Amino acid sequence: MLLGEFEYLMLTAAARLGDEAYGAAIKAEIEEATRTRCSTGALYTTLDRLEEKGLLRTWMGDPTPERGGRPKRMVRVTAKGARAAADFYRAVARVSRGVSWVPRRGTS
Amino acid sequence: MNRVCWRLADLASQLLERDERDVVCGDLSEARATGPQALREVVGLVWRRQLLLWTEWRPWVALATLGVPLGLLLGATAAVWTYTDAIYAWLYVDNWTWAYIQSPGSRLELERHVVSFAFRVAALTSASWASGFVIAIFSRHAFWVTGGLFCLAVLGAFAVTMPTVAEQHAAVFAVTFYRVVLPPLAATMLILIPSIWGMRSAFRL
Repeated sequence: MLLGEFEYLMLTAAARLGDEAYGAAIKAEIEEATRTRCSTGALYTTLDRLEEKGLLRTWMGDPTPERGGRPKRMVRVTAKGARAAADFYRAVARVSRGVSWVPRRGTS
Repeated sequence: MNRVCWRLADLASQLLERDERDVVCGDLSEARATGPQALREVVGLVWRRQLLLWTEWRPWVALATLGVPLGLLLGATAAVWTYTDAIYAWLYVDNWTWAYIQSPGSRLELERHVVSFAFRVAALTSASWASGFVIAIFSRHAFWVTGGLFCLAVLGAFAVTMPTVAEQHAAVFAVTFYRVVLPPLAATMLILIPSIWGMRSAFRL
């Protein structure tokens, strides 16, 4: 099962954040890495899909004052999720072998 | 503007599950989102959630077998009954005379109309409540759309089925109340409010 691009981004962001992985933090991480807006709708529907596939696990965290007393949705990548992300990364690396996307001088 | 957008975002977030609403509102507070940003994010999530619901068969079946047929049936029935009752209301209210009570035959006729009117109101409101309840049960979280289309079907059938005013009833419908106010009032009081109440009751289960 190969992941979608956004699913890979989400798993990678969650893995990088470790114990601090939750909705808003993952969104910020993806936005910083891709320099494009990540919508809350895309974030949470993808999170649900990944959880259904068993690639990550989510649970409600404790409420915090900076969130107006509302809880976070904490995220942890499962072993199956880590394998799927590694497979995706290897596939991208394999297909990219011998290809350079750095623009060469004189080419448009 | 900012406050209005936050208020709208808060309203839209009511369409989300309670846990998800808390999480999303918390995320937006933490990110110090502006009103327009909060509104865009919440509406986007609600939109995606609703779309996902419609990828299953259940809401489609609820809409095709319950929402639209029941809406058309109730709207059409209410239109015909409203037309008839407008004529009797004009007769007994606008043209009231004590002779209706003094004459035994007229009194019997009046009683018959009052009982018949009460029966129709009770039948229509209870059928509307039950329709709203069943639609909400079968549609589950998609009931906002199914319920909205049910209401549209009611109003559409009501408007289309309302009989053309016959020449002998022209005096009744020359009165603004019977021509303009009564039809939407009847549709709202006898169908829309009871059915929305039924949906709310189902949602609270």
